[in-house]
Amino acid sequence: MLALEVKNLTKSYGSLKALDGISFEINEGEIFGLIGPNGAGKTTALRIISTILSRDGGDINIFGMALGKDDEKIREIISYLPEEAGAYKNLTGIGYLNFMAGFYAKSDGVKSSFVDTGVEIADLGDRLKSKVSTYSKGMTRKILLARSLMMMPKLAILDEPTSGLDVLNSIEIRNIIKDFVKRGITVLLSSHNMLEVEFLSDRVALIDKGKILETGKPDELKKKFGARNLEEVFIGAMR
Amino acid sequence: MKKFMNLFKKDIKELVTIQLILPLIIMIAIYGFLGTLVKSETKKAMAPQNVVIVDMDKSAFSNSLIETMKQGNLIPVQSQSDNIEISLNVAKEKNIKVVIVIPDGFGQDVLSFKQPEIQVYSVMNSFSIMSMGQPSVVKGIIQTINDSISSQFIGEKFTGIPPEIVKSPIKTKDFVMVNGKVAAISPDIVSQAFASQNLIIPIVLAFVIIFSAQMLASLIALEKQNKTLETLLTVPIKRSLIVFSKMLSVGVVALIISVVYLIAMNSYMSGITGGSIGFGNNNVSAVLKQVGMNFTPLTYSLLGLSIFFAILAALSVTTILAVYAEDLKDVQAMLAPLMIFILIPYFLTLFTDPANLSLPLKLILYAIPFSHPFLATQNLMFGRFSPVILGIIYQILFSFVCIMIASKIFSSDRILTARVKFRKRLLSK
Repeated sequence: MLALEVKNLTKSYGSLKALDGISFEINEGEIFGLIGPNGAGKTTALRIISTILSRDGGDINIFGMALGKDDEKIREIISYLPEEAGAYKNLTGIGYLNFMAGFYAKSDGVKSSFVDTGVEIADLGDRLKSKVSTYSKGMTRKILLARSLMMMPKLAILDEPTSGLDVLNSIEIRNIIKDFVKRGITVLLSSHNMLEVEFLSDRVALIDKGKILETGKPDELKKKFGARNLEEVFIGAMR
Repeated sequence: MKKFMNLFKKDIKELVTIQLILPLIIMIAIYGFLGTLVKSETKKAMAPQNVVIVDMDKSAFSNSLIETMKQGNLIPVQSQSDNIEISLNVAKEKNIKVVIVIPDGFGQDVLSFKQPEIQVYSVMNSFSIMSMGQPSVVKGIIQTINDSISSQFIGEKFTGIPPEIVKSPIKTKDFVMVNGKVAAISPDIVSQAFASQNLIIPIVLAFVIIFSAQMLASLIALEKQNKTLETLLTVPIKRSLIVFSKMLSVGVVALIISVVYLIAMNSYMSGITGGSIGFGNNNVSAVLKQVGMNFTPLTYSLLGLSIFFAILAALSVTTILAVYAEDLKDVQAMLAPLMIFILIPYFLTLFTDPANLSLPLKLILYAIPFSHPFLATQNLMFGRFSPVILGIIYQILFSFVCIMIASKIFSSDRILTARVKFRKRLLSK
């Protein structure tokens, strides 16, 4: 089954065309990477798919549900991790996980199993009892990733998941994402770090100036452009 | 409902912080302290006060005058010297504020209608309200003495006729008619009682509306500043419930704070005025009850509804304005127009009679949804229910339209992009 189907998506901010008719599909259980430079339109695409921005044109279907018609149902099966996300500073880490789990769990039992999963992902030990305002950037990002994945969303939309993190934290987060896909979720992620996307993704789409330049498996794209990595693929695709 | 309560509890937690509670406790403590202080100072001022008497006359008449002073809440302290300077120094040393000099031949001069002078020296070492009141107390006593002496003279000339009748051959009896009800009472007393009973309502009302608007704008701006809004917009809860949760949590917190503020303010005001201003004053309530101007459950309910919908209207407008605030720093600038529209009815109803305003001003006043509770008290007391009910209907419609607009904004791109556009517009200018 297709997890996500994007057809001819367009979006403008005044005279600026952020998305110029992009189309791509993601299969269930896949990690799909949207890669491109800053300002390419990645975040706009992710925000539209996450139901928080409207689109000017095109169609989007998420697990068979049409965006614009079934938004509330869609929000129950997706989770979105924005690039510059934060958590409520007055809440403790565990309090934040409990608060967010409260929107998805149908019963207290389910809620506590979501929170247990969140605690496992965050791996912050006793610091989960501290207020989020005392967390480092890496700890905040981990608690936010835990929030995004703990309820096992059918589609996790992650915008620059390792943004601003050091190497160790980035590796840890990449491993968590890979592990959760094995457990059955589908991931759409965006990054301008092409090496990271190459490591994580089953398939990628190269986006620039609101247009998709190429879509395919990293190895196929590298072969097509005679490149050693996705960065070289991107340069080749831009020519 | 479960999801809504989850969000509502979080919003309450965001609002009730140490930064909110601490100033509140300090404010209550300060108002309580000031009220108690002024009350004790007033009590001191009302207590019998010492006055230094320099009696140069030492006649039966001057003795009788000193006795009259004792009955008038003064404790005469006889000066050992007839020298005024020495007596003034004695007053200064003993911290006595007034020195009264009765001249030699005073009694004789009174009896021969020479209108002798009693010299009153006020020792001033501060300009506090309490110390300023001292000479007037003495002057009041002198007035009483004058009345007493003149009554004595009149009594001697017009035997068998009470001196009061000779002094005031005609007397008046005041009646007041309010809402068709007549009571034997002076209009001055009624209007003073009304003013004293209702002085606190506009102050607390303006405070509550401004305070709750600021809290709501801060709550929304905080979601943007902490970068939590984007995530919140993707959770499975209706956007209108997100708006409603924020408004309700602010409403509940504002209500609790306003009750606390009302109690603190009431204690402060009753301290200042010796209990003549404020709720729960039995004398004032009794006066208003005599003319049927007391609050009944119906008038209380209508006033409560008018206040509730004024707050709701303010919160709904705030929600729209707060969309344009990027962070807490922007909140004050965004709320400035709202503050003006809250202060207009506050000052207009405090210093003018709305019924006598020009038509354009009247229209502006009635078009502002926050005006209606300010106007409601007077209307309700005079039994004019229609303008109050129409005002409430207008407030409901206004709030409904604004809440719809706010929910629409929360469901649109504007919630994330409005500020960007706003800044761009400013830059392009």
